[in-house]
Amino acid sequence: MAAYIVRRLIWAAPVALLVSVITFSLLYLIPGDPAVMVLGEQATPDMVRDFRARFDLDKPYAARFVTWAGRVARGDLGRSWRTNETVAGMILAQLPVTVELTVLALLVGLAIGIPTGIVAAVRPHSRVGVLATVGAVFGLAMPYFFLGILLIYLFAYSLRLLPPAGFVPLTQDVLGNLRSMTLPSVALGAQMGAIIMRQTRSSMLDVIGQDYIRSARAKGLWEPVVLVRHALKNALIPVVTVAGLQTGRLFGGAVITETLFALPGLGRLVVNGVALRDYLVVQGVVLLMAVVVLLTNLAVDVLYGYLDPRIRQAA
Amino acid sequence: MTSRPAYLEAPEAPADRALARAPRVAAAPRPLAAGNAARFFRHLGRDRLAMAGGAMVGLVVVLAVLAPVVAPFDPAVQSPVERLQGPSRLHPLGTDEFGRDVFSRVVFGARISLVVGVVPVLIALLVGVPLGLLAGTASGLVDTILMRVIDALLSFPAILLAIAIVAMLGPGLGNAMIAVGIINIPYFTRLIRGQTLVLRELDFVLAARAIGASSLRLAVRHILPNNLSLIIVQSSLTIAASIVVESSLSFLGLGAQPPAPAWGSMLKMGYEYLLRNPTMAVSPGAAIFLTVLGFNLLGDGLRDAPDPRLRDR
Repeated sequence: MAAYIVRRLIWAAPVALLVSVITFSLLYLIPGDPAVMVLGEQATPDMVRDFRARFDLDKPYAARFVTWAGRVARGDLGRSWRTNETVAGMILAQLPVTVELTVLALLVGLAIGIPTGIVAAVRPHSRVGVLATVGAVFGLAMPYFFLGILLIYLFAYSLRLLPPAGFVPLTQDVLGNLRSMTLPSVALGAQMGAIIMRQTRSSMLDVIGQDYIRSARAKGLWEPVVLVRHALKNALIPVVTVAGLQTGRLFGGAVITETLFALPGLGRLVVNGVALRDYLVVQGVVLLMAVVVLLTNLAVDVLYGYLDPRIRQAA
Repeated sequence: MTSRPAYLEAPEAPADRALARAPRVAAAPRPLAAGNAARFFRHLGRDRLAMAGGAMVGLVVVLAVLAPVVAPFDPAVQSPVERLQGPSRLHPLGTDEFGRDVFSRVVFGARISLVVGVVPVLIALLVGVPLGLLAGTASGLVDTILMRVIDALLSFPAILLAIAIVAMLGPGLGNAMIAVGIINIPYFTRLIRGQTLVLRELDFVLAARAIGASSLRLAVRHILPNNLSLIIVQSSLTIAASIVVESSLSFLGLGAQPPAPAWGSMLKMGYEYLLRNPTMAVSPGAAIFLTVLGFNLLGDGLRDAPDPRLRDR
């Protein structure tokens, strides 16, 4: 097991380095001079020179990368070119909203996906089974923002059950917070539900074909016990790991969902950063999310290796 | 073997992820050889979902090509007195905030969506497939380095990386297509590399190598043609994914710029006027949904047609 973990870490280290190189290099895609892009055409040569010196823009690529990587390693993501706040501080302030949204969306996805996936595997021709299978196909084709708009129209404007947008902090009002997060979580979690449903169905079908399920049935166990205690327990391992590997998708969807529902999370930080050409803010959030995805994948791989010895030997 | 880009479909199970890093013996690929073609199309023809998907894709293509004929109005002509009308006989899907005909704009939007679906896939094919062939045939250090870069690219949430690339390059349809093309590359590279690792151990490739074929000739003449069916399936699924990502970018104002009738930006404006005229948002949204659904169903059908028993697994 230790050797397996070390092998995964040896894999992750160069990938993490490459992630930071890619994130850093994003700034080089800016056409022309970033100083002019940020300050505007009217900037005097003095202002441009000051700006370039302050943000190290006058140094060569390698030198800038080393300085930047050294700062990032100490948690310093630079300062906003607009407000002069630290990027790390801006991220920390908005992080809780994104974390809450993605966790709730994941829960919505599991709550929809696992029960429907089981029914679709065990009773594929029942009404729920057919509905779940068709629903998953639809769910995968449904963009977050369109589902979100439909939910807003139905639950906020027509039925007036939930607020259409806006955010209430958890510390201020727990119920209000949940009300403001319900529609965004469903909009973001529905597609997860479709993915988890498909994975649950296919891994339940695999498990149900196994000999030990036949044995459990042969000795006369009550069917629900066979399904839950014997089949589901084994079928859920790949489901949970697949759910874990979806962190990136949830983050990406959160950017769209937060914009639609006006939630003050990292997604809105990015979208505002893009609008204001506040490149370091965009870069900071991109780096953070990629690193979190990398760490989650690593954790999932290690967990999977722990649960299934065959993986340890294969990798 | 194929999967939708991870931003649309679950990735391979973790077991496969770990195993995929080492060469493995997998089922021999099922090439679209001439003798199999008849059976392939017979299976495909029996697959009702795939046929429905094909019909949806066909409809979008026809609308895009015949847009000037189908659309009753010029998608750009404003008519302030008719603004924000609900559906009527004259305007079947109502009008937008400038009095433009929503139906005509949705029809012309099909052109943009097909282009933004196809061009990023072409970019990904042109870059991703050669890289996959290179990684699969070269192995060793080249393979290791390339696959680490691919792993790194896959660590970025796809939509976020696309947003960041467009943010740097500047908003616009062209840059959006470049960004979506870049995020599609790793999926093609990984797919082709995996298949190449299997193919290069098969007898016909070994035989070609034995008579002295160069690596380039092996890759282009022997391995690439046997990857074509995979590439077609992956392309169909990736077109769907690209349409979603581009319309997300347009929704954020980073893709096609007004007054271009892109479905994503129409949806954004429709959201602003949701209470006044819901069809303004629902029409482009439904167009995106049905187009993506069509390409997904068609791609699934193409994937399953060589062996219908694979369906649902």
